[in-house]
Amino acid sequence: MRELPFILRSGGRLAEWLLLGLLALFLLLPLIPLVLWSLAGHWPWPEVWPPQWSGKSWAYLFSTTGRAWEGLLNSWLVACLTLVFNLLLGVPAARTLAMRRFRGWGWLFGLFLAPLFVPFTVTVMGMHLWMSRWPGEFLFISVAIAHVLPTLPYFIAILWYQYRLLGGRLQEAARTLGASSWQIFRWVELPLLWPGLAMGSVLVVLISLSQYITTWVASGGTLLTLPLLMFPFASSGKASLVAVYSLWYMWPVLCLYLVYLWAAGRTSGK
Amino acid sequence: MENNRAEKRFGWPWGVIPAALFFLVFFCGGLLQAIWFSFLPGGDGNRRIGWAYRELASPDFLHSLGVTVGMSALVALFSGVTGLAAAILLTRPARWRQKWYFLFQFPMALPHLLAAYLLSQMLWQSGWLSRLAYQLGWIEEMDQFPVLTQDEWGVGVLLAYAWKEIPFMILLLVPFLLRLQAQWEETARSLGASEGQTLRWVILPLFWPAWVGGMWIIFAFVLGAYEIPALMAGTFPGWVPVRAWQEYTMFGPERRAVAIAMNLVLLVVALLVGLLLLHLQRVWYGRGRRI
Amino acid sequence: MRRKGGLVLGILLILVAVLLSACLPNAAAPEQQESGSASGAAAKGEAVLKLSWEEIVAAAKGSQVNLFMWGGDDGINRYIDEWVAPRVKEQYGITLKRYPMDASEFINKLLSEKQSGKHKGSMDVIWINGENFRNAKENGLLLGPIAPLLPNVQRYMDPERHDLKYDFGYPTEGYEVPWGRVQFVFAYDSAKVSDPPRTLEQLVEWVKKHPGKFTYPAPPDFTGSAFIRHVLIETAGGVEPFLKPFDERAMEPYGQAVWDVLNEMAPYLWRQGKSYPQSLAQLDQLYQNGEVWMTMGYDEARPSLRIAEGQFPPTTRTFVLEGGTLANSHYLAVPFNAPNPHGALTVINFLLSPEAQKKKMEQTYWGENMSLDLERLSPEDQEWVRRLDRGIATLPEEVLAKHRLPEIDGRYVEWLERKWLEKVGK
Repeated sequence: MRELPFILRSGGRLAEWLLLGLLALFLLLPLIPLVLWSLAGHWPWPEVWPPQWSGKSWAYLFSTTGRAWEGLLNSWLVACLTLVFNLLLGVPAARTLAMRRFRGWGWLFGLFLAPLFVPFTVTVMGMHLWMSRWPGEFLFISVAIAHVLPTLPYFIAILWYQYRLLGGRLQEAARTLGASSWQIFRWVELPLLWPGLAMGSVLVVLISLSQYITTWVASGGTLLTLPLLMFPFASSGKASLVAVYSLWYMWPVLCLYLVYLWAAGRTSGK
Repeated sequence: MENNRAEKRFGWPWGVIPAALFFLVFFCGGLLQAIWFSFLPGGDGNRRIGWAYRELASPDFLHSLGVTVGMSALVALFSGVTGLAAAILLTRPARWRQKWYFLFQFPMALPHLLAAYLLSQMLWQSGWLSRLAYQLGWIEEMDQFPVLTQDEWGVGVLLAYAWKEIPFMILLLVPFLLRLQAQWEETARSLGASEGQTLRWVILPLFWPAWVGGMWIIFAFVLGAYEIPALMAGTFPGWVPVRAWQEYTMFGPERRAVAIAMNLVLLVVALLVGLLLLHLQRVWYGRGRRI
Repeated sequence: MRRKGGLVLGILLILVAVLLSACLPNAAAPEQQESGSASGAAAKGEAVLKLSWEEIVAAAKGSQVNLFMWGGDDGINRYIDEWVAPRVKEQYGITLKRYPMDASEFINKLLSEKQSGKHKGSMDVIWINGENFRNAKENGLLLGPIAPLLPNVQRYMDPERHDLKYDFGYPTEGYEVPWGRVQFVFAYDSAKVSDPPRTLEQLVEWVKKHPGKFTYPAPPDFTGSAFIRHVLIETAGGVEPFLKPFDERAMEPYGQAVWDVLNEMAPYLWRQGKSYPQSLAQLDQLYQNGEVWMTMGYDEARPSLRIAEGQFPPTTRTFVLEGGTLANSHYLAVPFNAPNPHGALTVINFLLSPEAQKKKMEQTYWGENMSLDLERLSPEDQEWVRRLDRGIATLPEEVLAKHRLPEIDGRYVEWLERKWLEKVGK
């Protein structure tokens, strides 16, 4: 394949590298002070490197008060539940939206994307007033339900687009060969949808993991996910503690992402 | 279009029912409740319906609104343009670039509040960049480092949002661009189009709506988001979401209606902008998608 | 086919809309709902209040108590989780679970729950004071009175004590009990500040001589609000005028004096007063990083604790104003819909025991002054308190006691906070 130079002179290649490099630096540089803070004791200006190292924050994280594993498990359990809800609700919805046109299609599509542009604080305040009526016994489920709101729009949008790309010819061909709807879904659509489904799922998990206000409102502050544990420290300025919680939050996400890349790499041989 | 034949074969729109019901009950229910609440007469009875809105018609609030809308638009444009440039550069045929593009996705893994915190740690006058500057001999006193947070221009806020939204933009555009290039490059080339021409007349018009749509989503999101301006913006004139949250939590229960009213104003702004963009899109289609 | 599908959908949507609208009028009539299920909560609460102490403790055995409190300090968190919880489990069989939440957040939550008639909430004990308490009490969000029931309150607290009866000038009526006492102090870096100011005038002078090295959190932050109260008292020459009931018109001249001073200082503050830290935490960060040279806050022992943790520079010391600084208490209370009121009362009583209060006062976890009356403790305990080392930066109790002012009515506080945003915050 021929290359498509964006800037026609050869010096343009250097400029491209520079631009990308600067952007990468901008995005990745804040990681360095984060890691340093997690191990730092007193770290005054203008030291670039902490003069005093201390493992106290990590010790706190793993103590009973720090609730490292409890927070992690809660966060991920809720994220998985949210994903399940997204799959159950979102796949049929995206499929129908992509395959059929009916009266009110536009309105429905708008409804599904609405949480994206309604200021989230309104949704939260409304949810707050709405949800305080309930007994709130099924804690994980209520929180997962609350998490569906910020995640489902993205999921439906991504999947809808994938279905549109799919078109309807393959399914039609399968149908004329006598396949049932379920078989069509299982053997024709699913394998082709897989990349989009995977990406959508990862996004749902990421968004669910980062939710603070939603979890707080839906569980009344009783379900301690990692954001709930870490944000009081963020607002009380304990840099070292915020750093350890952030790193603890990030490592499983990185693992997930690596798994996703590996899976995507395997199926991209088309 | 090929889909037409398939459409009629696939039955009733049952598939959307569960999701639609869910949204109607939880989303619309909550929203309607909030809207209704904001119009309620005040607790002590001597305020009429809609008092919350009347209270918003002050120059103070309008100033805040102006700042919020302006900064949101700026964030959307900045992220949009930078994200687009990055996406184009990343979708070059060089395979290594496509493999490494996941690095540019890293900020998506973190919540917004953390992004605010991280960027604050970098950009404060006592932050990490300032310390580097000192070690490199560029500054001697903490004061000499430029003021980037809690400042009049909102630089810190812009950078923090950009840090999160540029990767989002890249995530949105890269698959799209890859696909477009794969589909159209050969065709355009065989018709004799040069590289620049392909870009301008084929690829750009096709993803223009997606790009503008992505920017609108960022705009609407930033309009209503609270965490980053709470941590990094100056005290006055405050951003509307920050003021709304303060009213909701700090000044007593009567002020909740005001908080919701403020946010509803933001919603209306986002909707108006969206409608405007839709209208412009239609006009543009009418003119044959020329750029 | 196309039309039909749309028709069905439309009908379904209308049905749902009807459903929703049937639910909405409920929000309009909170009274009716309240009388239904909130009376359920009231009945349960009342029942607890009538029991004897032995019955309460017996009923609490083996249960779980949810304590909701501010979670931004790891020392306090560890005190509860590592020290209090195991002992409560051992002595009373209660499982204590701590949940981090700000007072304003859980007041909001309780309000919503009250409005929607939720009679079984999730919070048993809440950590509360000041405006939040007043809001909670006026809206009927608390269970009580609980003070008469608690043995440790009867034994170790003088019933006529000011902070037992009033919280920021508002009568508690026994609905909350004091957990700890704190006094406002200013902290400074003695390596950079050789002679700290002692009066407001001296502070203003100092700020002018060292531009950019001082600031205060923007009200309505709790600490920032306290700072401007000090300015108010200093400009008025004393706290007497404000011990009367709040009168907005009478306040005008006093208020003006405050705004004049603050506006005079503003150009010499951090960021030339164009922006203020949003919270004490941010101010502390600025202080830690050396951007400003002073910080402030309730809790006279906090700076010492921070030094020990390695966060504040070891040369940090504290000072109080000649005219005195505000001292107040913070409290524990029980919400109206606590799922386990028996356990709640048992735990609160334990937290007010000399054993727990002494541990709280030690620098290991918290370092804060106890809420019990010194004179009512045993002679050994009194000696223990007198000998306690409260940290290198903490002022001795005699100095603090001589420069102590009571808090003023919460309405003054709110008025000052609102006006600050108008007159100075711009």
